[in-house]
Amino acid sequence: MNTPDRDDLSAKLRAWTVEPQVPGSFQREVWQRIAVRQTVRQEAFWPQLVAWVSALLARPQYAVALVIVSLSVSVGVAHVQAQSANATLGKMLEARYATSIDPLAMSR
Amino acid sequence: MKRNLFILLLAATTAFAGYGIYYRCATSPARTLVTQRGGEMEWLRNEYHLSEAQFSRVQQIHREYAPRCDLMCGKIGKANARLDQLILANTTYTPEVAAAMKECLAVQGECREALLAHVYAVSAEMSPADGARYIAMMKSRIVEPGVGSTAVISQSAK
Repeated sequence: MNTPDRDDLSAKLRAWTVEPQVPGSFQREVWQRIAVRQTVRQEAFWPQLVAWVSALLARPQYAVALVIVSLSVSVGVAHVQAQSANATLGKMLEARYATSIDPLAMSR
Repeated sequence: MKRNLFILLLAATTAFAGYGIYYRCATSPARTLVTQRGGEMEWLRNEYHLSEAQFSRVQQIHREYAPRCDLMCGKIGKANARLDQLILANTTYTPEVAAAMKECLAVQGECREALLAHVYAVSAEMSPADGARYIAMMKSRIVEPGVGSTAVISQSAK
């Protein structure tokens, strides 16, 4: 049942277009907000970590454990590096010994 | 806060000190051998687990061999110098160059024979396992001195 009012409304609806007005600074503002949130999150991470470590170190057993673990790791690294250094020095001594009994090597 | 900082500093100091002390102690014997005169003989003693008696016999063998080794070293030097001179003085393969070349090879062969005999004599003083390891270590210097044994492979041998 068409009435003149409905036809008028339909015509208006068909003719209606939406043109959203996005401000020129929209993108910049979005990125600024993202950057601010990231900074806030990063800044929050370090104080949290410091607080957590401080809480742990307040207990003597954790403090002692930290010292023991640091010492163990450093001695482990030193052991691996010393083995490598000893192997190199051993090769040098081996070459020196072989040269000391090899006239061909000595004459070079 | 100060207490925590002190604990962290203590952990770091302990770690550095532990590293330094362990590394120095672990490498000290080898570093001493490298810097000390005759360290290679001490290295031989440690590496091939020589007892006091074995080591003194090996030293005796080494002392007897040293003058011969020096003599051969001189011979090689002379033969090499002569060949060097003749190669530069000639433009073709003359009988003189051939003779110098043969002399060079003969002296080198003599040296390698003497070295092999010395290696066997030393290895005989060691335990069988260490002796075999010692011969294997010295082998490359006798088979092809200056070149790895796997580096010289003829095309037909492949």
